[in-house]
This record gives sequence, C-alpha cells and structure tokens, in this order.
Amino acid sequence: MADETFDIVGSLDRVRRRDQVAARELVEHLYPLVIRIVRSRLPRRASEEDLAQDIFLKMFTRLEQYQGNVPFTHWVSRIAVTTCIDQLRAQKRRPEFRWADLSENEAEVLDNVLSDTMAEAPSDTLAARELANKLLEQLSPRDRTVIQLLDLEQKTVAEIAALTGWGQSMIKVRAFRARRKLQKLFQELQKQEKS
Amino acid sequence: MNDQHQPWDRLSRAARQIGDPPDERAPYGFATRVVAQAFAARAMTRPGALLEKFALRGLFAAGALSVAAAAIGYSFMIEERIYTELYGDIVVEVLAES
Repeated sequence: MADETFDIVGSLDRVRRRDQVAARELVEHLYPLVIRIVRSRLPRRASEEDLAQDIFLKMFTRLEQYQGNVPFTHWVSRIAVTTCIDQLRAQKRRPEFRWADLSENEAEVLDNVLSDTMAEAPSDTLAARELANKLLEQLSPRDRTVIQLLDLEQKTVAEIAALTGWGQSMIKVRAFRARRKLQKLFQELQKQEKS
Repeated sequence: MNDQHQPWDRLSRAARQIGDPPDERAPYGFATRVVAQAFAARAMTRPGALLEKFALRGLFAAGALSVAAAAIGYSFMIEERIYTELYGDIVVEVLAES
C-alpha cells in the first residue's frame, strides 16, 4: 500500500535536482498505483513489468511539464492509462468472441449470469473475472477503460475524469455505448449456446 | 435500463469479489533500473548536454596536447642549453678570430 505520509512535493524537488535516491523512492512509492492500472487493463500479463517501466520512463521524461494543476498521482495515472490504451491498440483484437473459446468454468459462469443463477463461489469469482476480461477485450481500448473503472473498480464518473483527464459527458457516453455492446455480446453468446 | 444490462451487472458483481490483490511492491532492482535509464536519457536530452560532452572531451584533449607541447619544448630547451654550454665559447672564439 502506498505510504500516505510520503512527501511528493519535496521528492519532486529533489528529483528535479537529479537526486537518484529521491527518484528511486518516488518510483517505489508510485509503483502500486501504476501496477494496479497496468494489471487491470492488461489481461495478458507477460509484459506488465515492461509496461510499468515505460510508464515511469515517460513520467521522468515529462516531469518538467508537470505544473501542479492536478495531484501528481492523477498526473501519473493519466500517463499510465494512456500508455495502456496505446498498448491495447497495438494488440490485435480477437475478430470474434465465441462460446467455444470459453473454459468449462467460464462457460458455467456465463450460463449462470444469463440465467440469473450466479452462486458466487470462489472458483466462480476467478472464472467471472476471466470471462469479464475476455468480454472487455472486445471493446475499444477507451470504452474498455471506462467500463473497467466504473463497473469493476467502482469508481465514480468524477473520479474517472480525474484519473484519465477525459470529460464526464464523454465518459457517460462511452459507458452507455460499451454496455450496449456488452449486451449484444451476451445475446450473441446466448444464441450460440442454444444452437 | 438495468434490465437491459443485467447479465453484465451480474458478471461484474461476481468479478469484483476476487480476493486480495497480488503483491504490489516494486520488484527488487526495478526502481534502480528505471531511474538509471531515465537519468541517462535525461542527460542526453538536456539542452547543451551534447555540447557539454564534447567540450569536456575537447578540454581533456587540449590539456594533453599542452602537456605534450611543454614536454617537447622543455627537451629542446635542455638540448639548446647543453649545446650552448659545449659549443657556445667556441663560436665566440671563432667569431672573435675572424
């Protein structure tokens, strides 16, 4: 957990004076924040450390641009979210999402959510998270980020605006559009199950 | 509207129940590696950094040349002095005789 007493302003002053110890402390302080963003947006986790490294390198490169208008953690979150979205754009999206692609547990969870018989056992929870991630992969990177933050991390629209720098209206529109797309996906999966 | 999104609401509710997050501390050496790379990159992108780098090299080269020149000059001075000591009087004598 991040240390609440960490002096970010003092740390930034020292980093700007090229104090490497302060820079290392800053990275260690911000790592939990950054890795949480990376992990929640990158289901294929093979390169999560590389992505975190890219985010910190961007942070140091742009440090002179930070004016203090927003909290530093929000500024770093925006870099992290943007970097993850760029990464997701670079990844090839699956052309089609099919019932046959699901594991046994995921298929069971899907069956339960469609029929409203979700038991929420621990094994189901893990499968539910995997299934949710697979469905989210079908959305555009920005829509996916909005839904992830709203529905899985339960952030408010205002919090998402602060974290991403996007307007609140845009976030609401994206959320509406993304949920509609998810609904369509559920309908298609239901059809596949019946056929 | 909620009815329309029920399967996703149920799925996201179940997905949120997932247990403790994995270890979120930076891996050993991560901060050191990142900071070393960042500072190296910053050093090269800083205005005047390239000039500074070459200027420093130039200073070393100029210093080395100065030392070499002084050493060579000193050796010539010594030779000149020895020559003068050995032959200086003979020249004066020859000139005086002529």
